[in-house]
Amino acid sequence: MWTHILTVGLLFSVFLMAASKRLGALIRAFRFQSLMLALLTASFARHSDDLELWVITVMILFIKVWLIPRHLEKITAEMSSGENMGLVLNPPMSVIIVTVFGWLIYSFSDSVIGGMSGDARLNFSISFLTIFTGFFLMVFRLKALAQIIGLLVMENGVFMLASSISDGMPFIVEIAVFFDLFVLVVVAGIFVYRIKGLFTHIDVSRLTRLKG
Amino acid sequence: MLIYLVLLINAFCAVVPWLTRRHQAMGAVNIAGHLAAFVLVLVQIAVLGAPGRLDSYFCADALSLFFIFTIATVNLAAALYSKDYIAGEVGEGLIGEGTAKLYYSLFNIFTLSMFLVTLVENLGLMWVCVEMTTLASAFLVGFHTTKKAIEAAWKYVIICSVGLVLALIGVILFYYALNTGTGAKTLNWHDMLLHAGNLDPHIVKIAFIFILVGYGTKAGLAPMHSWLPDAHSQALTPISALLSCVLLKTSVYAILRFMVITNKAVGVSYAADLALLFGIISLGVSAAFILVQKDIKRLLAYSSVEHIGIIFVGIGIAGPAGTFGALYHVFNHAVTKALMFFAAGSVAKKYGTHNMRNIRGVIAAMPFTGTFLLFGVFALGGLPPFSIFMSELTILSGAFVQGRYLISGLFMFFLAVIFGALVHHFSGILFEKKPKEIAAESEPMATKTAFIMLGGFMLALGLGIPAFMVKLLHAAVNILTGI
Repeated sequence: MWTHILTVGLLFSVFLMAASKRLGALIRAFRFQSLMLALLTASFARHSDDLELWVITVMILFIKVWLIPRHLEKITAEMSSGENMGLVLNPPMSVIIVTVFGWLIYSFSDSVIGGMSGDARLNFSISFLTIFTGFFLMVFRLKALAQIIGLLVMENGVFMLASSISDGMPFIVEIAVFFDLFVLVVVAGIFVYRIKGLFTHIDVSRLTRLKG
Repeated sequence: MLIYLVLLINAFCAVVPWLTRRHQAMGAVNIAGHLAAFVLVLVQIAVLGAPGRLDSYFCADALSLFFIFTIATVNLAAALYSKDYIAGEVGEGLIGEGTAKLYYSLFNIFTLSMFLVTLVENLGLMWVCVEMTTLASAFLVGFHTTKKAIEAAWKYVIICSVGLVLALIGVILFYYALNTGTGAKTLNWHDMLLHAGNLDPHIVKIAFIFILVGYGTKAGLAPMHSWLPDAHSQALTPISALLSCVLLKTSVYAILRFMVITNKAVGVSYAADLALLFGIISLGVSAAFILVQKDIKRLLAYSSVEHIGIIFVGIGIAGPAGTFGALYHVFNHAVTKALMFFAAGSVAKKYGTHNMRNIRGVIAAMPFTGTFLLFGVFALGGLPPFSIFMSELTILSGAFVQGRYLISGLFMFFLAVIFGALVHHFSGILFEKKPKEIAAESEPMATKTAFIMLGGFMLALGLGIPAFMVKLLHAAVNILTGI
């Protein structure tokens, strides 16, 4: 029951992201998605009584729900023009595209991995839809910060894929991936500051000096 | 045990720059550290042989050792070149002493993460190490905070990270296949290989595509190579060499590890055909861009795409000859391209431009560098007696033995086009009249040593491969072909 509600929450977060008009809203949607992911992991942990899963839950809460969104909000506040995230496709159109892809992914999921139960198929489809949405945000939102968030959303989808189809990866790998992700956000954040400092904007569609 | 020592030395070299203030001292320690690492790796290979699995986390079989040897060689050359390069940058006031610290520290973190990629046994941790190489080198690409460098670094981080997310999906799907097929819960390569026969072929096929596209992005395979010319042309010269010569190869290594499992699960032809396809595309794309290129470092970057293509054609031809040629080419390309990047970097610095139309008469202006650049171009284009000729010939003979005439024809056609383009571009650079304001000068000692060392490898391996290396290569080929 609870897992179903949380899965629906994850699906909902994907649409929230596609519909977000401003960076602040996108970061809040990311935080909500990470929270759903943490609760889902906690429900798995309670089910299997596995200490490692509890540790992972705490790490999601600490890194993805608190640390990373806070860091991103700080950067957004310091970029004076930061709130606008450079929409190429408007929110209604984005929601329609994500919906269509959700339906396509669900229809094709059976031919990727045959013989899944209803729940497994749903989880599998929602994880791939999350990965797709992250990719979508990276392509159709032009501000550098939105691209970082897109990457994080893709990673959230991958994490969900791992926990839904194979009960997560080995513990040490999960921990190392978290560490890596955090370093990635810090590194990319520093580059956002540098782009802002040099170009006086963070619009990646205008980074076109290198060609050929 | 020597391998652990190599890692320790590398970690030590990453800390040393923070203990001293003089950049010359940092450069000297860096050279000493990488020389020690190189000697240790050589002793391990030539005297002790491949130890195989070291413990539950590390494994140094012949395939790992071969890549470690390649990395250690290029690291040493890059450390030698870095000393005078950084001294020059500090002297000109382009970077401060404090920034030199950061450079040497990141240099070693970068090389350490590349060593780790080839050593870890767990394929999930291997993914983490590959991502670490991206993050460690990102600052080295965007080291000069110019608009171009920052743009290149941003593209590098974002495109490679997206590629690696796809690779992570591949890793998870492999894990899932193992989990459902055998119930085993491990990502250790040897254990996965042991169970590879019981994996669901359908899932393995999909997983391998994710791996190939994901790690292929980092390896610079066309059409996922768009970050590569930007990053290679904007990075500091020693870093360009490291990126092109060994960073790309670590991703090739990651693909090879998965390929062995895939081959055992679904048969040899599936992964080989995919590798062949991407290899030929890379050759074609790079040939077109090399032909019309104006920027000397971008030209070398596209040449890296070409050579990665050659390596993948070798892997795709499969069989002992193709695989042997591909691995041999990994090393040959590394030493030759490092030499070319160093020479091109020195030339670009002296002339103050990357534009090949404004670089004229290098032989007259810089006789030492110019001579090595001349031989480097011939070696890179695949003329005998240099080593790249030998590895390309090995790959080609492998293709002919199997009767793959179409592949052989395309392969030779693209190589011929690229050779013509290289000669066209570099004849002007080397032999035309030099501008009056450029005065002839001699190169510093450490830089010369780097050139002589790389040139020596380039020539010697064309004339014959030392016995210990043949043994190592054959052992690595046996791992790849599953004997």
